[in-house]
Amino acid sequence: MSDKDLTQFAAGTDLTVSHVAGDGPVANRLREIGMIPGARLRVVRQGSPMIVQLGNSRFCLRGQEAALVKVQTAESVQGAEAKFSPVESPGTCLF
Amino acid sequence: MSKFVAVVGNPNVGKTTLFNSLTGLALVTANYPGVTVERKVGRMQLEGEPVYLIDLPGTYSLSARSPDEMIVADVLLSQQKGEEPVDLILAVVDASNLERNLYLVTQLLELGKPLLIALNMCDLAERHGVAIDYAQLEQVLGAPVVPVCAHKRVGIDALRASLQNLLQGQTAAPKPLVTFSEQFCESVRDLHAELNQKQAVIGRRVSLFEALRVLADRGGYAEQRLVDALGEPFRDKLNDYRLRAAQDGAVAAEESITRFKTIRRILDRCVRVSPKRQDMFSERLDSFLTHPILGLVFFVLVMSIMFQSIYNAAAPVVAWIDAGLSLLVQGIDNVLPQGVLRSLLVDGCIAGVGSVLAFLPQIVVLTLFIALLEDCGYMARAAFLMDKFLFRCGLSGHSFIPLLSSFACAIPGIMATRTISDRRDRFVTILVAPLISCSARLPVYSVMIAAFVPNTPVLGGFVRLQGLTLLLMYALGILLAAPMAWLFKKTILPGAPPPFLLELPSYKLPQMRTVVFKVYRQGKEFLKRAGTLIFALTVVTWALAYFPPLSSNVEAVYENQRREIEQTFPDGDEREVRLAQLERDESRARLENSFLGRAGRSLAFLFKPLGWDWRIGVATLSSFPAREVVVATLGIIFNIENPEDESNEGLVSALRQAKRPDGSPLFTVSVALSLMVFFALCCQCGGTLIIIQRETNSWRWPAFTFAYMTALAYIGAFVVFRIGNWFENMAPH
Ligand SMILES: Nc1nc2c(ncn2[C@@H]2O[C@H](COP(=O)(O)OP(=O)(O)OP(=O)(O)O)[C@@H](O)[C@H]2O)c(=O)[nH]1
Ligand SMILES: [Mg+2]
Repeated sequence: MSDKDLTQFAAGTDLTVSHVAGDGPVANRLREIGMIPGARLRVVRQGSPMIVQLGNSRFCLRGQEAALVKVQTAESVQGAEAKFSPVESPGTCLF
Repeated sequence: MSKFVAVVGNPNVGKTTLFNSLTGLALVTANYPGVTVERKVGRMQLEGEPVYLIDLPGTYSLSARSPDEMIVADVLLSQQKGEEPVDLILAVVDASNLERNLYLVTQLLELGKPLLIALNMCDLAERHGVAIDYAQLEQVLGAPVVPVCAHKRVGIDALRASLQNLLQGQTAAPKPLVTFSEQFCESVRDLHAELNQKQAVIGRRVSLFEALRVLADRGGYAEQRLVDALGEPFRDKLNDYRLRAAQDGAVAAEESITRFKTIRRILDRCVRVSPKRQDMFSERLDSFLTHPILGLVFFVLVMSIMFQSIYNAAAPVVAWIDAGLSLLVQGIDNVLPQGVLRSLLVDGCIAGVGSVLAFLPQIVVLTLFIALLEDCGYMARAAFLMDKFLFRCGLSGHSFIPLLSSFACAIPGIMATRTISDRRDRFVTILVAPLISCSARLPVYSVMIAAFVPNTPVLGGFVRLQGLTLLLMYALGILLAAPMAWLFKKTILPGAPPPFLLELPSYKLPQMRTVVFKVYRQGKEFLKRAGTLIFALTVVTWALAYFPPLSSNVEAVYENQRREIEQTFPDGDEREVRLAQLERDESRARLENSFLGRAGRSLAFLFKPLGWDWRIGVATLSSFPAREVVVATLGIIFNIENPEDESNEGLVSALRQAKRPDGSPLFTVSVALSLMVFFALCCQCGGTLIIIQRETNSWRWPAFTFAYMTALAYIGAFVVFRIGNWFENMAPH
């Protein structure tokens, strides 16, 4: 299943992030503001720059940045939330 | 022992507002992400002990990529040279956006410093249907949590009490919450160990947290600093560490996803979101204000109203100030005899500094508009709308706020470029910011427009010609800044357009306190300049225009003529008129003979192509350190020329009456326009050049800015004068 990106949906669409592509500064910043797998997004205004709603905040970003955000429509990922469910994480403490 | 507290948080969460409530110090706040760009320190008293609060720029995480993010990282990691280490971190968190805000908090928990969390915007959280179990959150995070509402000053006392508690006791730092995968931790620890072996070369100890940043932020600030110390080959070594830490070396992705997993767990335990009522108000407004056509129409409308008001709303106050100054002049005339002292006071101080002061009302109106628009949340929308336009010039919406601030003054505008992460985009913005018409140009425009542009209604009576001319002068700066930015981006600072990612805050009613403080600060700044720099320059200019006196031979000639008139015309109007004329001639001769006059006349050839005579040229030259001075110099020159100007309408009428040697008026509309255009485009501001030097760390950039703007100004003034002159010659008299 190939993911579409943010630029491909009309205003008003509810979306779920599958991942942000890349490891550059912009991709990192997008993840740091909460665009991580499972996050819910809504396209408020399409275009470049576009406006998206993420939680209770709104961001505007350009097409170039928006293309990094791979998403699926909200209906098609009913079960995907499980991927990110609050299981106790197994990792070790770094500090 | 005084204590230091760093105030940290995401952009636009109310850090500065909280800082102000705690310290009582008025710092500028705005409903625009990224307004605080410089570290500011305020003092508060806790049980008689001074505690210093450091207000830091907003940041989403501690991975530093722009200069303002570096400031945050440096202060928190105590790497600012010669600076006290931070005793406590006060994290300001937006309760209505907890998930995103806690990301930074999980990083702060790893710094090994005591942490206090101020949960701000509780009113907004409630409105969004977010119910937070504070006690539970405090327990999970392991750091005290105090709910506050900074702009209504709710919870400030509780926050002070917590601060006091933490600063007094031997508070242990809270425990980090996030756990990473085995290989991730190992890789970071190994890097940390290696860095500590190289401690001697690096020159300091590197903390584990810094090692994490070096690894995670590819191409970031922490990496760059290490590579600077250890040499370029170290970059490859870092990549090996990265490959070990995470799949495909995607350390940053791994970090952020792991952190958010932990945050989700925390939120599940502490927060209940009832079926949320959306911010319908902001949504509706946005569907109109960010509309590609309607939004732009509204934007232009707002800007037109702003410039119209600068002229019309401020006009009565300006008139009062002028009237007050005239009274003062009459008072001095009655008390002091003719002579040097009177000339210094009347022609120098009042005509000079006074004419600059008269513009305070207009500057207040301009700042008031900008402050209101910023605080209600509209500015971020304007940045959004302008991004398309700025993109064409190779910049982004991030350059909008620095450029807009430059309407008040280029200095804060240039400082605001620190939020731009890309160096080249930042420099291009710095280079064009002084082209934006700042408030110091307003006096020049005002005088010229009031004197030479008729106030006839145009465009169906919607606007008047004077307001429209002013708007055009302001537009000129923007219209030239765009192609210049494009040109710089193509030539000396080449690069792709920068990314654009900006948060749009919710709309809200502007906070009166915030707005008033901002206007007050700007006004105070203006008055301070008028009282110091402008005053000093004015006195110097006056002296240059007053000395040396005419030689006794020449004086004698005028004295003879005066006696002759008195004898020929025993009394009556004829005698008065002739005496006045003689006095004007003598004054003009005195001015031409002065140091200023001599210099001006020898440079007259420079100004001639622009339609100026030596007097305008001298006024312009004298205003290179600070452009407002031109109004003062014009005041001095034309006041000295017209000592008996009984009408006392001040500078405007003096300029209208100014004549060329052949008796034709000195100023035509085209001369006035050419002067305005010159001032619109020239970099006549020492302060701006100094700040450019400071921000770019080189004298090359201010020198370049000065050179290109002066050239632009000269060419612009020349073209405008030629075209205007052609029209004037065409038109029947
Ligand atoms: N509704 C609400 N608004 C608040 C609250 N606290 C502050 N604000 C508003 O939020 C806006 C941003 O405030 P600032 O203090 O400038 O925010 P900041 O965190 O310093 O912003 P930067 O320095 O740009 O990162 C202002 O318009 C404040 O009036 C609060 O508790 N509730
Ligand atoms: Mg601030």
